Amino acid sequence: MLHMHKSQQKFQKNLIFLVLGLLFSFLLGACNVGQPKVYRVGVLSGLDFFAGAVDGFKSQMTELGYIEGENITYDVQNATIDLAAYETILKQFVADDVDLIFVFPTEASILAKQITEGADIPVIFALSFVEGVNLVDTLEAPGGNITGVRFPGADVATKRLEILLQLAPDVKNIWVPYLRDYPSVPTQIEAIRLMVAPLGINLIEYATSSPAELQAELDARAASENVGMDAILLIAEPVAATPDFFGIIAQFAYTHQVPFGGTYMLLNGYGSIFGLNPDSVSAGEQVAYLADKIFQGAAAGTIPVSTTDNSLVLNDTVAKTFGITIPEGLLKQADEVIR
Amino acid sequence: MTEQPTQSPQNNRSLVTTLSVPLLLLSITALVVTFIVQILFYIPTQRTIVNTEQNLLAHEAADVVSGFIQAKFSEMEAVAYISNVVAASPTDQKRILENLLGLDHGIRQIILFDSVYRELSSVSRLSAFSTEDPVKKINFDVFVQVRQADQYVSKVYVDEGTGEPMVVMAVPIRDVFGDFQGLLLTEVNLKFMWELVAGLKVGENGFAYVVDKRGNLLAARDTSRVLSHENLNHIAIVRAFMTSSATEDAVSFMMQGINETQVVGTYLPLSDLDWAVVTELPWQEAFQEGTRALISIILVMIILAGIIGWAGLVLARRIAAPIITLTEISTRISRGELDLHAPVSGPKEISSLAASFNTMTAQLQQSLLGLTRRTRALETSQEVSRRLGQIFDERQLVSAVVREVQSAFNYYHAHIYLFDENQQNLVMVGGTGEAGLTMLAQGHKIPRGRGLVGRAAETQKTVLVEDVSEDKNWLPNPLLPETRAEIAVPIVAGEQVLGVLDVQHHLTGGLSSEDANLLVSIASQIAIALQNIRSYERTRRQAEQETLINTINQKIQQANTIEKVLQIAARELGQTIGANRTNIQVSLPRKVAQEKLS
Repeated sequence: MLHMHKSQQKFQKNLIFLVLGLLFSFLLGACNVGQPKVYRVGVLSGLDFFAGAVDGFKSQMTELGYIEGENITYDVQNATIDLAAYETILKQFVADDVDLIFVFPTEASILAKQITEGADIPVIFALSFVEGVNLVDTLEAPGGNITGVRFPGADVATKRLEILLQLAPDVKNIWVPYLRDYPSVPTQIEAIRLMVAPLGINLIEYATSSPAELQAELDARAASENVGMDAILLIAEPVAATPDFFGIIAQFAYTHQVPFGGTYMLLNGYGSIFGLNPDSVSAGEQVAYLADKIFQGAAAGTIPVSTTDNSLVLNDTVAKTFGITIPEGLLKQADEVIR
Repeated sequence: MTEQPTQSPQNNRSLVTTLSVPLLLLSITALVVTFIVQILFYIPTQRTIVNTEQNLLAHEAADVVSGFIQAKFSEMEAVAYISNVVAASPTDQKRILENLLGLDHGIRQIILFDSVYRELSSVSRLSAFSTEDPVKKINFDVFVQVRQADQYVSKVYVDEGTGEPMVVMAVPIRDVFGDFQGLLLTEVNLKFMWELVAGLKVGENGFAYVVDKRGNLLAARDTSRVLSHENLNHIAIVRAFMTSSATEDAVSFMMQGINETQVVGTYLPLSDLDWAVVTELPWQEAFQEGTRALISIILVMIILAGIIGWAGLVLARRIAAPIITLTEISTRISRGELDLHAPVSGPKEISSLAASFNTMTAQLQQSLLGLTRRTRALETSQEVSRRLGQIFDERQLVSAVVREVQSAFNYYHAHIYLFDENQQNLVMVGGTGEAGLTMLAQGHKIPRGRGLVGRAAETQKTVLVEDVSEDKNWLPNPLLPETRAEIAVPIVAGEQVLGVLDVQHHLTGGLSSEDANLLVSIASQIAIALQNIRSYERTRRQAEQETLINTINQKIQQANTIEKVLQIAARELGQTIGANRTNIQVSLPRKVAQEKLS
């Protein structure tokens, strides 16, 4: 009987130790549950025209489980075509040692790559040209600490020209304004030069540095007997997407009945006939997937660069203002027709 | 009583342990065997269930991917058969193709060929300036194949500008007689399939992807991997697809997935395409239900083992309890607690054992009691003998004997009767307690033959009455109201009854033949003692008489005359008998008397 008691006591003792051990482990585990990491993302929105990318990015990040204020914070900085501002913002991101930099457009992306070099901060660009700007090694393996969602490339310029020619088949002099020395311009200009050469179309390239300079140029053309252009083609660069520049061009085009398009914008009643632009929101969403992959541990430079899809917007009302009837085939291809 | 040396038990395990451990082991063995049998049946069943579920998931995924391709074919066939596009004007042809292009964002280019493969019209989502002829990217056997088949899908190739996977699809255009009129060819960007594949729900944490027969990843939730042009031929299930025939149904097995984790992978070849949809589900999730069921089974097993163990322990305790009680009682009895009794309860065998044990204990107790009593009797007898040897007074002897007998055996009362000189009445000459003194003072006596005492004297035999209320000859004594049993033992010397030793007990049955035997022994000693006293008394008296005679003789012999002789004799005799006056009358012969007178 005594033996039995001893056994029972031993069992009870072991049971108590087991329960206490489990309780201790549980409490220890509970104490060791660390706070979830809060990712800090620096966002440089370098062009208001693509501001939708930030919304798309944040929205998709939320879908992926990154809740702002809980496990992710965003430092969204805006600057429009201001290299100095870009540099200041990006350097601050580096100083803050953010976990990720999301940047657009092309010029800001190139700067981000340069400034973050050696800082071990991954960079995701969006809506940036990669051709001829030394932003990535290849699309498949961008290298360094950078990846992103590229702008569809020079093809978008030639496609815009094709659409312009579909809308205004008889034009012979096409004026192409662009921001001087902007990185994405040369490849586009080169492409459309090659395209128009056999068509007998005169390509009038105009590089500008500021709205005032642009205004002066157009004022001069307005003052002359012939404005020297049958149509205006807006290529993928900041002049076409910045209200200060766009307003001057649109006012001139409306005044002189010069059809214009390429980038779609509607500003103070002035609008372009068409725009073939990447979908900013969609681009931002694609960036979110890349960010998630980086947060999961992938090196940015090993993640292939993806490409945004172009979205064709046609403004039938504006077209009619310029006496243009949009072909049915083109209307069918449009993602959005504004009437 | 000599104490036997106790032998230490060889086995230290308790009976409860001895009983419960085999019970527990047996039950656990039974449970384990049941568990193993269940597992043996359960694993294949669970595998079949998981395979079936994965098969269904793969079919759903395949339907989505096939739907993507079939939607393209449907659109192309609508153009090919309904709009009579080959016969239409170039403008209409262009418009029709543009409509189709606008209809489906996944289509990047459309080219219309006539029956001799001349290009009639084309439209592109890209700039015509930079667009490459998709036909150049595929084998020219597309024309041959489309003539023979209703649908054609090329092998996947990668667009150099975007790195995105592309495929050429084509359908023949036939007239109402079925004659080949041309073909409609489209270049389809498979990235529009990515979103569909990414949206496929494979459990909670699973996913699907699409590979071609070369193992190239065509669509996946992680588009980066597709853009990396990852080849998955190192994945077991992909390799299985690459080496399989296209007609096989879904195949599942455990493997290391593309994220290098253990998954249940399933592939399902897509009909008319050299692609397969692969689903991967983490094995934990795939076997989640099974694991839960398994855990439930284990828990039930543990609970059952616990219950059986507990029940076994309770049963063992219940079985062992009477034995343990018996053991405890026997231990206590061995230490001298002879009045203990084992409870007669439990199973039949145990209760029989307890009863036998009690009987054995009772017998032992009785034997010990008898032995004790005998020892006591012996001691009492010795004490009586010792005292009897020292007492030469009959009354003192009687008083001492009754006291000794009464106190030694805790009798209610003891007294001794002796016959009077006439041998007719038995006179109480000594008794214990107040009653004894009272009766002595009253000169209590019983006629010969009356009552138990009288009968014992009459018959010279011991009279034992265990219940006096049952004996009509019993004479109640108001001084002894609590008498319930009585023994009357004749005190016999030779053939003569001297008296009766009478002992009374306050309990019915309180006196037994053993008491009777004891008292007989004591009565015999009393008889001897009485005889001795009486003999001594007689001897002493005789000696006294002889001494007196001698004394008188000596005095008489000193007398020198008859008168002195007579005077001495009269004086001594008078003193001896205490007479106030002693006269001696002497009758002399006549001659002597005359001489004297003369």
